[in-house]
Amino acid sequence: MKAGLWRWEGPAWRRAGAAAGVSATGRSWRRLGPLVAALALLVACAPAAPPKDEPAAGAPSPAGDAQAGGTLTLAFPSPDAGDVRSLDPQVDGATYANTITPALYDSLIIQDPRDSSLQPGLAERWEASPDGKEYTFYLRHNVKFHDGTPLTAAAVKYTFDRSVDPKYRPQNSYPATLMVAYDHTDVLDDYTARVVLKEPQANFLPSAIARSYLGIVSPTAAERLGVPAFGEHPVGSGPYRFVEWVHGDHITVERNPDYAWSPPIFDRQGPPLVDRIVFRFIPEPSTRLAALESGEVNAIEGVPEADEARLASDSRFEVLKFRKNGTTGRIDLNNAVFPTSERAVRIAINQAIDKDAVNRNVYYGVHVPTRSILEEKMWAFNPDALLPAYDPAAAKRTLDEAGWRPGPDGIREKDGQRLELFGFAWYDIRPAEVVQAQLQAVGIKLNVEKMSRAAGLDRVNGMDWHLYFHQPWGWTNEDPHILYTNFHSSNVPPLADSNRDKVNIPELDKLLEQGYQTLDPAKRKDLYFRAQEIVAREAVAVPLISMYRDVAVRKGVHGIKADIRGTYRYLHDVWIEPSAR
Amino acid sequence: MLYYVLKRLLGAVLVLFGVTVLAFAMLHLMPGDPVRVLMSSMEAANSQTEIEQVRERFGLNDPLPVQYVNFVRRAATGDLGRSVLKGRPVATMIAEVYPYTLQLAFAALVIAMLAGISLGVLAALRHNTWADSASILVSLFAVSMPDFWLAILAILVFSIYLGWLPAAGTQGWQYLILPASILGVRAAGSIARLTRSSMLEVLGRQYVTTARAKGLRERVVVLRHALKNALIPVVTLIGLDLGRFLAGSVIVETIFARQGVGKLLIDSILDKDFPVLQGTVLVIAATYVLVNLVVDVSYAWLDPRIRYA
Repeated sequence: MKAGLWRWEGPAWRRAGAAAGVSATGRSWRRLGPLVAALALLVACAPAAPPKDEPAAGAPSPAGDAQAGGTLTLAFPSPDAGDVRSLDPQVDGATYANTITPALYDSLIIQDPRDSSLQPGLAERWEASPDGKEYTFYLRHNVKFHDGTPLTAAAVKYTFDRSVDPKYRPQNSYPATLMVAYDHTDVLDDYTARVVLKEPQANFLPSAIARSYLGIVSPTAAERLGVPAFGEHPVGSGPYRFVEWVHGDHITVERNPDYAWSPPIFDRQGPPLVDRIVFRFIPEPSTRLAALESGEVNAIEGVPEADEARLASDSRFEVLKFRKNGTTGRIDLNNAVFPTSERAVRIAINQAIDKDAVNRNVYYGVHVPTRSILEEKMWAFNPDALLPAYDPAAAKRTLDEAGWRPGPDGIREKDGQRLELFGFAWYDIRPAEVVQAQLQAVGIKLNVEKMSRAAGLDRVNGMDWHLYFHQPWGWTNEDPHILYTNFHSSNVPPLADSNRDKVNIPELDKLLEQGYQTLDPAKRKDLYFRAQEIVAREAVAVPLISMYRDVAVRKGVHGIKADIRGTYRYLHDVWIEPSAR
Repeated sequence: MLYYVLKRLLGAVLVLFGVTVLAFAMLHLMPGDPVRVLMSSMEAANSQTEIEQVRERFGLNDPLPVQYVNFVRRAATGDLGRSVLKGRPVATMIAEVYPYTLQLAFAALVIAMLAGISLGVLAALRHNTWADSASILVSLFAVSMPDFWLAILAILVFSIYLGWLPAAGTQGWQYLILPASILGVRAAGSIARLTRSSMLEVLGRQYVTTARAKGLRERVVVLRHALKNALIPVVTLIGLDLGRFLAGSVIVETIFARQGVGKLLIDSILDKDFPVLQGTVLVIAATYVLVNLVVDVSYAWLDPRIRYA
């Protein structure tokens, strides 16, 4: 046989004969071959030493030295629907669309996240009529859309009308819900618009006008492109202009050099400092993190809890902690079906659950355990309206007093009925597993099931469940009217789907209705304080976690700010040090 | 040959119709209501009348057979409906992501073929030596390891530690290397094993001995005479792998943040986005059927014995 690459040792029967002449050592070496190969592979698999932290690149510039230039690359997890649905503000974009739309569009009013006050946006000032049915807005002069056309009161009328236009259903369902009290807009002159409502709505300004869903669009562009094409080629008046959208991959916007102003809550008055922003979608948390660590992106949303401590202590990165607003993350209880229809059972469930343990075990202690239904950031937050604290002994007493006695297997019974509950989750089953063990300890049996999102959302509208583990961060909102959405009896399925707890308390209903219509902020606060007291007393649900919605950035990326809700970002003030570009 | 091709073509068309019927029936047997999903995902209170409006608009009130016939009729003209969630035409959504799936599939196939066939040939030529055992071990590893684990490991090593390759995205050829390699790894393993055993079988044949006896160089014997014949069963395997790649690899697409047909499919299932799901299943099935048709025909062309079977 010729030697070389193409050498072939001959068929097996011939080689066996040849091998007979080989020494015993040679034969056993051949058998060792696979073993050696396996060992070599195992050694190769041993993890390499992790890279050392780079030393800080010189002293960091003082915060005042904002510098122009650079690109912000912000990576989002994809929402369930897989992509931002639309960049048309009057069409329901998915969650992260609401970080991108404030960069492209301006609203008439903006809510200051620090104190919930209403501040001028495109409207320099505004007046409300005493009966709360008319709002007159006086607009800034000389604002232009990205297509060069001027922003006038006619554009405001166009925007508000299309948000409720039935011809754009179902895409504009959500903005239409926000504008449920809207009747029409009168254009008094080029820079004055009067919005007329059908009935007074106390939170009309913060919950409709100031929302990014009512960002003002260019009527010329929207008419020319129509829905849904306008959502793919947005034209607004904001600090950034649209460049491109590669579906499922990224959206690019660039600074608008003609942006000559900015709402007073921002530091920067005039065009932004960064050249471009690229919004990328990276659904897998470990990949998103890898992109940040390898320098591919310089900011990420959706920081995995398991890695937060490591990132925070790494000198190359910074974790911006933003607390959200609205209602806290909670376990919904079905108030309309036995046995969770019994107040004692609901109280006992609250007492049996160790929220701190859930926070530690599921979320690495990153968030804040809570006993309130509303987030602390809410201006009408009642610090005394707390649901029962973790106290397993008290839970057992509560159940004993209500007639639930432990059965032969430790699970409580009353009148021949076992205290056996069904709970389900579609987003994350882990809190359910922790809670299952805690409830078992006081004699409540909880069966849990994980299902797909569609099946879960369907199940909760029926009666066939007791505990529902919704998205763990709860609802986001800027106004206590969220309590109406969550707990007013008119929102119980099948009438609507937001009152999942199926709460029906006439006294509560009245307070929430009055809160919606009372225009005086002090009176509203009092009404909502009393409403929270009822919710706490009746233990309608189990508040669990108040979540941070954090952003992790490369050190040197400055100015990312959260809005009043805590979940969307304002990018007007962003600037990047040269070392982080 | 022509008769053979026509037979295969007819079978393909029948399979395709069967797929549409099955996909349609399956959707309606699943729990959950698409309209409610659409409304709920907006976190707003919605009235019953609005829900009915949406149902009407998307033709969900028609009887099932009517819905099916409408679907097939429209699909034949290229209209796969509009997404319930986004309002965009389904055909556009698929056309947007299909090139990325094609890119990934062909890159993975090339890598799998190069790696697999060379490994298999090497193992066969060095039968019963350490090289043979090592390559068997490597192909076993490639076939057994879960791709999400390999993917995350690859990102850790090549993106973070070494910084050679980007972790996520689609805009450029560098972004293709890691995903294509991970996707191709398993195929490479099975191709290697099949090539090896096929080569071993062929190398023992008499015509190989004859070729050698004629005085041909070893390389010519191995490549032109032995390998070509040994690759016949491998062609079928490659065809199946290509079909599988084109059907979209959800895991690789998700981890490397790439758009693709697989990700579109999974998202539409989770969101119960009827039209997107139906359109995507149809396109994937059509692709699979086409690829298998090509494989069958090329198999017959490569091996004349098949044509007359």
